[in-house]
Amino acid sequence: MSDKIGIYVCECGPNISSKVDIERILEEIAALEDFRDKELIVKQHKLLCSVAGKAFLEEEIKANELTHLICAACSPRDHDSTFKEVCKKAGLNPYMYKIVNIREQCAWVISDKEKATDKAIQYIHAGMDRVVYQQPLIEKQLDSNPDVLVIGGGIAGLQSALTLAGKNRRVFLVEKSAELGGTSIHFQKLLPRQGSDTATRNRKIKEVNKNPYIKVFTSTELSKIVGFLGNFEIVLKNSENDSETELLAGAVVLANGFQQANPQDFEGYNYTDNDEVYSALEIEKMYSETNQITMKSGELPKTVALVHCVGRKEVGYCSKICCNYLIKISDYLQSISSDIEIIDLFQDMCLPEKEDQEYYEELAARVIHSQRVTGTKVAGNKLTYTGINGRETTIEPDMIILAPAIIPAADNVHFANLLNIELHETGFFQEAHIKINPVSTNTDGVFVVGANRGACSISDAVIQAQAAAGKVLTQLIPGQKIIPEVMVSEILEAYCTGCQTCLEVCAYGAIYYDAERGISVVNEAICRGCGNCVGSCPSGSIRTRHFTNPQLYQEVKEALRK
Amino acid sequence: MDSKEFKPRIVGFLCNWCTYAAADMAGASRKDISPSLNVIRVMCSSRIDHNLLLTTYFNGADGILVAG
Ligand SMILES: Cc1cc2nc3c(=O)[nH]c(=O)nc-3n(C[C@H](O)[C@H](O)[C@H](O)COP(=O)(O)OP(=O)(O)OC[C@H]3O[C@@H](n4cnc5c(N)ncnc54)[C@H](O)[C@@H]3O)c2cc1C
Ligand code: SF4
Ligand code: SF4
Ligand code: SF4
Repeated sequence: MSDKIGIYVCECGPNISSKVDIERILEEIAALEDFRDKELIVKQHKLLCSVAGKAFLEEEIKANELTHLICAACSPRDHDSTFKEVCKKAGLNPYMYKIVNIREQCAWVISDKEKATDKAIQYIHAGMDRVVYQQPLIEKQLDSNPDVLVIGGGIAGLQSALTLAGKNRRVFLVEKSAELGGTSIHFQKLLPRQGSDTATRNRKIKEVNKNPYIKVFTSTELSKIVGFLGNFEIVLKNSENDSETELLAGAVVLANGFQQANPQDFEGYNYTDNDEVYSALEIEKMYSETNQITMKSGELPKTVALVHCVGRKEVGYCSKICCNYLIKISDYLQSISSDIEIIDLFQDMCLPEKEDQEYYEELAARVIHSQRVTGTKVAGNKLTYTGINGRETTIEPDMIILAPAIIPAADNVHFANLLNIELHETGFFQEAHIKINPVSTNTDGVFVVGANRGACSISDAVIQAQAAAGKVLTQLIPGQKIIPEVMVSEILEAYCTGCQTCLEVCAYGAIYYDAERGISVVNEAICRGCGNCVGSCPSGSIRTRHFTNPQLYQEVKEALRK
Repeated sequence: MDSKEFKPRIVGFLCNWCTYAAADMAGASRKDISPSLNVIRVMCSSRIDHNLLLTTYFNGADGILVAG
């Protein structure tokens, strides 16, 4: 008889001892003498989780050479890990122990002491039946990869890459288009409070291109990714030649930007390509390419109407930057010709930064005729606005410039699925916590920065990029080992038919199909051990470690014995 | 006590993250819980499949609570 089960009943001060009859528990359990041919050691202690209690347990495990351990104490949510640590210290595999909750589930909820004692004995017995079916599990240490994948080469992606590379982190910077720079590459000037030289921004692109730690992939997209913090397996695809690149990285910074809504998608905006109606982004592009803002005839406009808040009601949020850039566009116009009359139709004036107001007031005093309206409509070259008095006025300016809502990039949904991160109801990414964890997501090791989490200015994008880089640098340390959960599922190769039903049910994407072997395989580092896949398998080939069928059946059987 | 009094045997499969935590809270607030309930902790209620349910009934359960 070599197996020895130690059963230790904790008094938890008066918490347990005053509500159940510990004497009787010890007697009845010890009386199960030939329990499965194992030797039983049954004792009590005042406070097992205390320093003295832990030392006592450790000594008991060693001195008695216990093969199995039961702690009849509190909820596993309180002290399961405490006793697991004791097991490790004493040289007993921590998966050969089980905590039995006789406090929250007996002492505290059954007022009749006799009944509470009966129940405690029943639970301990069930625990003993289960523990003999438990198997030692070995924790593995995995190497972590400190490199970082940055997706999107706009200002947010560029800054993330530069900050990370500044600490000698290797960065793979993936950009969908043929060039780095993102949307702001089209701006002739930046909002004046940011300085009007575009050299700073272009310098960032140059710095990225010559940085030995940053490898740039243009015309490239992420086609596949599996893994977890410290260990992502990535496949990139080049859209020009369809070639694929495989890489490993430890974290992902997603900076895929935004798009500007199409004004025609909103009610009341009807015009054709021939009309003198432009989106702000079209004007930015025209100005940066030609240094002019002209009508289709090539002439300068005499009157220009700026229309704020296009689609704001429909999307349900303020896009934060459009009031500001419309003022910038007024600045462009008046630097082209001081004769251009600028009619600015605003609904709200959103000027969030400390320098904005002064700049606006200065321009408004000289060149902008601002008027608060409650609504605007565009039909061809005609613009109708409703004043705050409710009266409608129709004007026909030479040029109409619209500020359409900033909306989520079309591939946000694709990224949400690929990276297992959440979308906000607006379609922008959902942060792990908007206030206290604003660039993290619900997937460890995946960060969102820039305009993909909501409209933002360049300086906001830079701040977020630096924040995410800081997060990566503190969470992903070179040489650090990762210890994945061991209570995870495994697929028994001999039984698996390769039907792939289990792939469908795993919410974490932890199962993949190995076509060569014709079976499905669990990526243990991603698996959370929920066991959802177990029931889905028609051939019964999946086993969730530490929650196997025999283990649970034993617990059930004993729970129902009396 | 009448020995013929019906004492149902109920097995409650509780999810470690939600309902097991709720049961702990019930304990901490000293709620009265019938000894008829036999709690078995699982890491997710999705672990409960037909095999486990049938095994539980075959072993004499009068009712099963899957909470998660
Ligand atoms: C008309 C207008 C004027 C503006 N003027 C100013 C201004 O003067 N000052 C200011 O501070 N802000 C201004 N802004 C806001 C500014 O554009 C944003 O703050 C900034 O572009 C956000 O940077 P980003 O990197 O998050 O996104 P983006 O600039 O949109 O960059 C995203 C990048 O990701 C790439 N990408 C997208 N999808 C993928 C994918 N699947 N795989 C790989 N790469 C992908 C894109 O090609 C792009 O290069 C203005 C905005 C508009 C619309
Ligand atoms: S920033 Fe200005 S124009 Fe843009 S939605 Fe907000 S209030 Fe309207
Ligand atoms: S459901 Fe079962 S048999 Fe089918 S692939 Fe998954 S493990 Fe294999
Ligand atoms: S146990 Fe859960 S997380 Fe793990 S493979 Fe199965 S379904 Fe996926």
